[in-house]
Amino acid sequence: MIYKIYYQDAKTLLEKPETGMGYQIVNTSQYERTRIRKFVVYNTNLAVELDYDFQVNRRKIINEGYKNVLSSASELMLETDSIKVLAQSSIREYISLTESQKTHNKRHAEGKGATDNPKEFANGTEYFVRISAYENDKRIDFVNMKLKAGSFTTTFNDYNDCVATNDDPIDRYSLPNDEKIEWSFYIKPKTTDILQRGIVQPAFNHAGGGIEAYFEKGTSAGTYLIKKEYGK
Amino acid sequence: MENKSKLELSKKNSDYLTDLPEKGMGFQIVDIELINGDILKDRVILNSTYLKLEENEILDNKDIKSIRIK
Repeated sequence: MIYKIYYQDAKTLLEKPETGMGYQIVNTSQYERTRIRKFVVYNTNLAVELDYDFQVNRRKIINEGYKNVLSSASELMLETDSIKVLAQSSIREYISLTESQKTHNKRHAEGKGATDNPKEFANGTEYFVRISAYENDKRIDFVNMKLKAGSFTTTFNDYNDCVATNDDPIDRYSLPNDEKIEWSFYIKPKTTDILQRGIVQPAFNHAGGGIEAYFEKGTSAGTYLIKKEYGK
Repeated sequence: MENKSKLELSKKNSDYLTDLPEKGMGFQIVDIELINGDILKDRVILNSTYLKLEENEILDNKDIKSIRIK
């Protein structure tokens, strides 16, 4: 089963350490119950019971998206005193990225995805980068030299961290591709362009943790600058 | 028919998806209605062009009736 963690319990979980980047694995009991159950809790809000259906439920989150599943999940109230976050050493099979790797790769541990965050105007000087396995990335309007509406990018700084630390972009940006990322597209939005930025959430069996920026209405004409080979 | 890992969508469907929002950088999640009435739910489309196929899945553009973004 997939549950939405009761608000007060989510606050409690927030005060406890993570098991891995963006998630906690906990032993706990339901409110006024005694049976201890084990859950993977994503971002302190969405709990998936570690039972026979775990893989099916995890796939549901991957396919439908964290926010959509959370909005339709039944609420789960916990016996607060019973909440125990498990150490990494006890659940090795669920760890995809060690803490030392996470620090080395400058990934971000907490925060919402871009579309869950407020809109902001670009400052006119910041660069954004869109990475792709495809040289003819369909989200770039090569005629008007702009990013098309409804497109994601990352920030240049985060892209730079990904490259400089030799991080895996597929895992950092939770991409469903099994193809090598070969291209990067540079965009410099104007001050009239609006974006939402956030942290890439775990998905497709990847940890996420990169920065993502969503341009609901795309960017202005002339803001797409150049295409480069990934990492160059 | 050759067994592939992805299906290049028809230009019509690809153009349709290009105008719709992404779910993440470089991909969209869709439901696909087939001519035979089956619905393929929560499928990944890469670069608004390539449908990721399941293992051993065989599908052709002529099998697709409509695509709906999620």
